[in-house]
Amino acid sequence: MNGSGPGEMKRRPIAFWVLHASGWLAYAGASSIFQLWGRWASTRQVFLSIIAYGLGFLFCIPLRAFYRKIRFHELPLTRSMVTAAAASFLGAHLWLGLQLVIGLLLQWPEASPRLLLQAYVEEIFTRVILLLIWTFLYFAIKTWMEWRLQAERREKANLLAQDAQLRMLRYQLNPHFLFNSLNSIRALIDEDEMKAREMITELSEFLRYSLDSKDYTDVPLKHEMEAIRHYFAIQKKRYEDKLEVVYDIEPKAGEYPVLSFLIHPLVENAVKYGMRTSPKPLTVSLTAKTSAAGLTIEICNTGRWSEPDRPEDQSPAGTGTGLDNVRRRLENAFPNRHRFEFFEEDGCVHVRLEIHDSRGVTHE
Amino acid sequence: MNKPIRALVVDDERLARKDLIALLGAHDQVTVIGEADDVPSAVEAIRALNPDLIFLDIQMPGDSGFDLLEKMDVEAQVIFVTAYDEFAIRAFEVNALDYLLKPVNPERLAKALEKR
Repeated sequence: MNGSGPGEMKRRPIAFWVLHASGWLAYAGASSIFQLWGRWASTRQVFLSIIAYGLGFLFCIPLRAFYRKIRFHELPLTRSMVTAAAASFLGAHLWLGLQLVIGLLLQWPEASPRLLLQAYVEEIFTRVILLLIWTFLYFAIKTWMEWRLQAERREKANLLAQDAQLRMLRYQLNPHFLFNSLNSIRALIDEDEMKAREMITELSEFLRYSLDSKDYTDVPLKHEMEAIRHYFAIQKKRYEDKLEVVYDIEPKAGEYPVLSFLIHPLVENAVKYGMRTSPKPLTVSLTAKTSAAGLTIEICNTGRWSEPDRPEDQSPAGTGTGLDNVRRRLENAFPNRHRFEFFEEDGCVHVRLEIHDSRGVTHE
Repeated sequence: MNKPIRALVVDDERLARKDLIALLGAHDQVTVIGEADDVPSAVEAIRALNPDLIFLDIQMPGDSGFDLLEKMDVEAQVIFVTAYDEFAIRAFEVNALDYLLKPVNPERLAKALEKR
């Protein structure tokens, strides 16, 4: 067997034996019921029946080994049919032959070889059919299990691919932000030592959060907001009086679970495009509130909406900061229960995000 | 090699300009003759002061450093100063003298100045 996992390796032989034994038992049982309907069988007849069915059960084992040896499942259709017929024919004879031998040894009249030989054609025919049916069932079930296994593997592969894609969409630290911040800290050291220290503290707090490699789907909004507060503390030291930030986060909204770094790309965009299009000072406001329907978050920045059309506007590849990425993450985590829209109004760009409660779940 | 160099520093962040000017202080032949915090004021400063060398940030509000070079014929040599290296190839295309990463390494700055 190529490429089976450990669980799969154990399951297949067990499955075979369970099916094989129960199949023969069922056949033996049904067959006996039909044959003995209304009649009572003597002990010897019962014994002989058991031997007959038992031999059938046993003969299938070397038959299976034979099929595996010749790699039956790889044979083309006609050849496999011919092989199955031949194997069943031969097997039927061996089976009957053994019964004859046992009859001779026992010397019971009921087991007389002559009885069996008189009905030779019928006896052989029955056995050949049985073995053929067995062969067919064996390969049918085998194929079905193989197919199931492939489907499982495909499913797993899909999940892994999706997972990898999601990782790419995850926020990754914006190198511009990091190096610009370090640059500012260096400049502040001899100008305002206190500020330089504060900035280092804020930066390390922010990095601690953003470098966490796990992709959380249930971070309380207030943790996200903490990271954003650190981010803005740094930005305000860099941009000084060119940047103002306003927060309006309802306490209940703070408890609502969101995706890690879902909001951050939106905030970065607000700063980037706001700095470009807004009269100074750029004002960014963040609001979050809960309602019966769920959570609503809005990020506004003074300025105008602009398309990222220049190369220097594109997010550095793979930093997960595009609006597209946010949308995809929302679709993945809150399928059909979110809203994501942006519009320009009153000299501000608004980005609004709604996450709706799944039915029956309330967040207190 | 030690010709006096008249330099203009263009960056939208005051602290970034301050940091670079502090580093340039170690080079006697360089005199910073002006600063600008966006492309329009940079254009004005270039016309008024006629610098030999311009330290140019790329990502600025409004027009970028590249936009400045497209907007006017600049006789001065240009050294780009930016936080991350994704624009290095484009810097080559516009014949920049060099491309420095913030926070600028003093030794790297010295090498860039030697290229003049």
